[in-house]
Amino acid sequence: MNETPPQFLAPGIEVLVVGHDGKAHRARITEVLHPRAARVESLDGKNTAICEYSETKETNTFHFANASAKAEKKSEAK
Amino acid sequence: MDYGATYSKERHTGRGYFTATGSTNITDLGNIQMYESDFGIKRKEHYSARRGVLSMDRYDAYSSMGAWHITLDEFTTTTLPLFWSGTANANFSQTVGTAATFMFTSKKGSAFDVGKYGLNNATLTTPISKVEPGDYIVDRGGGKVYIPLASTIADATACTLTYDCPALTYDSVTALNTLNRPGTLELQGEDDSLAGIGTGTGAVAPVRYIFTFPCILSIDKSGQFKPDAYREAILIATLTAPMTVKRLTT
Repeated sequence: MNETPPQFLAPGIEVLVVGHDGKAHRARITEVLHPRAARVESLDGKNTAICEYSETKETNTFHFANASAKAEKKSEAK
Repeated sequence: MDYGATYSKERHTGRGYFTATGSTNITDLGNIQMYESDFGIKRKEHYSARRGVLSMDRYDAYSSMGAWHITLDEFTTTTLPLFWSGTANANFSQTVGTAATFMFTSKKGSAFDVGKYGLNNATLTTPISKVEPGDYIVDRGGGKVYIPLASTIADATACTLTYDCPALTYDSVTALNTLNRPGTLELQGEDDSLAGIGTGTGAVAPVRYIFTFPCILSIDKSGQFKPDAYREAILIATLTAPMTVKRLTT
């Protein structure tokens, strides 16, 4: 996987998590584990996951809404 | 109290009440197993010198650094910040979960943090047909799932644990951010003499000793967590001004 997310990860950021059903489910980052992985929680707080960022949208990965291979570059940290 | 009095020989329990500077509330220190005042005396010897021989003829005390070491073994919400030299946070709360799920990507020999505690009805629902403890092990109290080395679950398999969990509340403290806590301490020594006890209903004898002093509280260690003994921690109260000692005369 080892893909670089198009933006810095931080708690509170909303993402899309691919479940076992192959569908994307809205979730929110609760803890950043490293630059490409996070603990996420469904918006109702019931379901959680530890997953990595992936633009290929495999099961148990997350991506951003409107993310694509041509995602904008991250702005440099000041 | 005169010589020969029964309670001139002392065997005491103790109580301690700390008022932090700027506070009107008192913190009860809880059960005290032992308390001791170390006067921190420094001395300087003097020798007379005669015919090749030095003989000490003075050994004066010239400095004191009073500190009480108070051994406590009752750990409560109120005293948690004292024992961890820290500040209290808002409670850590866990909401109840029913058929909640935790998804992770497996790796043999690794554990994964469910993020919840006190799990029940916990089973691996994806992939199906996996058994515990051979394929996975759930630490239900601590909220972890472990994939054994001999598990039939291949690495990099997307797994889902389904579980229930209760609503829980934990006290929370940020440790070691308040190393010194100034205030005033009243230490009391109690014996079983019943000296000075009143005559009315519910009368309890007054305490034998009252030590009052401005101080700074600190603590060096957490005390040992062991299964075969009760944990104790030693609170250190260093005097910042002279201490008053009162002793019941009857």
